[in-house]
Amino acid sequence: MLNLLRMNSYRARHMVCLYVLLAMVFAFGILSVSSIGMTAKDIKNGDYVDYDSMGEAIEDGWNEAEAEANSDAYNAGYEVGQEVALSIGLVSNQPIKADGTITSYLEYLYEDVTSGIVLLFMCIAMVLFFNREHSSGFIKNIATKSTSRINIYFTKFAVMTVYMLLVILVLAISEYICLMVYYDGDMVFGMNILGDFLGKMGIVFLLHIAFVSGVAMLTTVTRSSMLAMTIGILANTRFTSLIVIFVKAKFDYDLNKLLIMPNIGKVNLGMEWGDVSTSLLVGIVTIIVYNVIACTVFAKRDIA
Amino acid sequence: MKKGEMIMECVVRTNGLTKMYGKYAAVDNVSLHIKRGEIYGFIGRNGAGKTTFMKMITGLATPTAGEIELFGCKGADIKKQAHRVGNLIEDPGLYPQFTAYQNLQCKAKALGIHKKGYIEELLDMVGLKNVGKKKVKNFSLGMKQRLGIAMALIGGPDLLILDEPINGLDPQGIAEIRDIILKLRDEQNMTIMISSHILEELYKIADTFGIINKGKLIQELSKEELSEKCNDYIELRCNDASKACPVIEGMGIENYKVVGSDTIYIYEKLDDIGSLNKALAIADVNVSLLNVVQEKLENYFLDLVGGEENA
Repeated sequence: MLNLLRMNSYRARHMVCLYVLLAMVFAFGILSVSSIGMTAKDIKNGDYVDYDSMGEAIEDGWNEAEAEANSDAYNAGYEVGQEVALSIGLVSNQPIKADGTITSYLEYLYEDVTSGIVLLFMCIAMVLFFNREHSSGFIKNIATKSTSRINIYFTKFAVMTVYMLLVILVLAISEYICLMVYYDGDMVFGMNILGDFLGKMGIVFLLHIAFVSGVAMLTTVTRSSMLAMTIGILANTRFTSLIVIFVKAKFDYDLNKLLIMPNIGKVNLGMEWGDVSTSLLVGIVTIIVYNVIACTVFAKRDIA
Repeated sequence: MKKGEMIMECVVRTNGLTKMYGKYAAVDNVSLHIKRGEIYGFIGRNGAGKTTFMKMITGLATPTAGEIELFGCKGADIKKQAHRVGNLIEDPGLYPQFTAYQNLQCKAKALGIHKKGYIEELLDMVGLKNVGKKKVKNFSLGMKQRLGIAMALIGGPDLLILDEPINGLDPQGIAEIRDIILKLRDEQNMTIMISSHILEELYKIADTFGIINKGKLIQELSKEELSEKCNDYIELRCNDASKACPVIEGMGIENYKVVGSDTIYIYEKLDDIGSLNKALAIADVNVSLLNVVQEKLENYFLDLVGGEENA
């Protein structure tokens, strides 16, 4: 198994597309920070209330507190209390929270990791890495009688798990640098929530692993990178909400409890640990189920 | 020779090996054996079952029925010997974005080989020493095939399974592959199983031939036996073969075969047909046909396979 780990590590280190994806993640970090609505100077000075927009908001029926706290959001045309959503379900960070405090670096990072875009990159990387061994035919060189197919699968998975950590690290570095520049070195790090951040990030990472397990399983079972990537992207963009609505209407059951993406969205900073236990369980069970299916199919199937 | 030694003389032995896809038998009850140190030529048309058979030997496909014995080991024990088998099945499995060195390095790491200079040695052996940083996607077909053979040689296997390694190659490429294969057998005493439908090429290098058609092994024969079947010969038809035999032997001809009461095939002195005719005439043998027949390997194979179809 160690030899297979070495081989897959070597392969990952020499795959240019994985570096390209990391560069895209870095660029996403820059994009995310650049989408902050107001200037750093205004935030620093506390002068982040656009009084003209606040006036308009009050005329439109907002109460004064909401209008003051969310003047920037109103100015951008978004409704109070709603997430700023791009067309694929992402969240644009607000520099000032509803209680008037400045959003910290860890909060920015947490929001972006749980937004779905990072998971998208992970899906693409997983599909490319898993499927290339089959599409190129290289699998014929190693999947002979002398090598356990389960080890082949799991070593690939292990290497990609490390890659996923790297993705988050790159995003963290990108946003740190950008926010330091944005706030002119005066960024709020968020040390007071570091413990909560690390714990919740661990659960979110586990849920990310659960999601890409499904993508890896699809890639292995269907041997089609296109199909696996398409389903991964659709699931990532909450296409499954259609199924959730149907099940809710037909069987009066909230399927969101069992799906990965809603659980990722559910785990928030500041949430009680008891409330995230279900999400943790969903993640663990999903990882086990997907990997058992993938390994069973891969072990039994003839190599084409 | 003791029984154990006799058994070990066979590197590969299959017994009733079968592979079914639904109701279709891709490989149907094939029992063959490959001796140590020989080149075994596996001949068959496209879709005959050669690749499927080879995949079962290498573990890439699971047999539906039958038994495989590898280096004297059967069943679960085969895993202990499986590392001694190198394979090149269908097209070479190579990462197109990697260089030749990187591709070989991947497999070397998977097998736990870290010896310095090992990859360079292999590249030199197959004539790819100077490819440098060229990516495999820019290789010619011949280069890819040679790299595929290098890939199969990682780990120093004792048995090499090559599935149509000369497909699509030009004459120079074919000659290069042929030289590599012969060198492996002669210098490293490697046992090689090679499949092809280019019969003339296979005839040049193989020691034993297995002919497969529609999943069934039709014939297994040595090169000498195949030569006899495919050599040029004089076809003699006369009124009485028994009367012609003493005349033939009197001319010093030993290699001949009586195939009927009136037909004899003679495999010697093909350039002295005139003398034979004269001797037969003097012996009062009434000759109705006397000519040299050139039997091509291809014709032999087609007759064999065509005979199976018509049976």
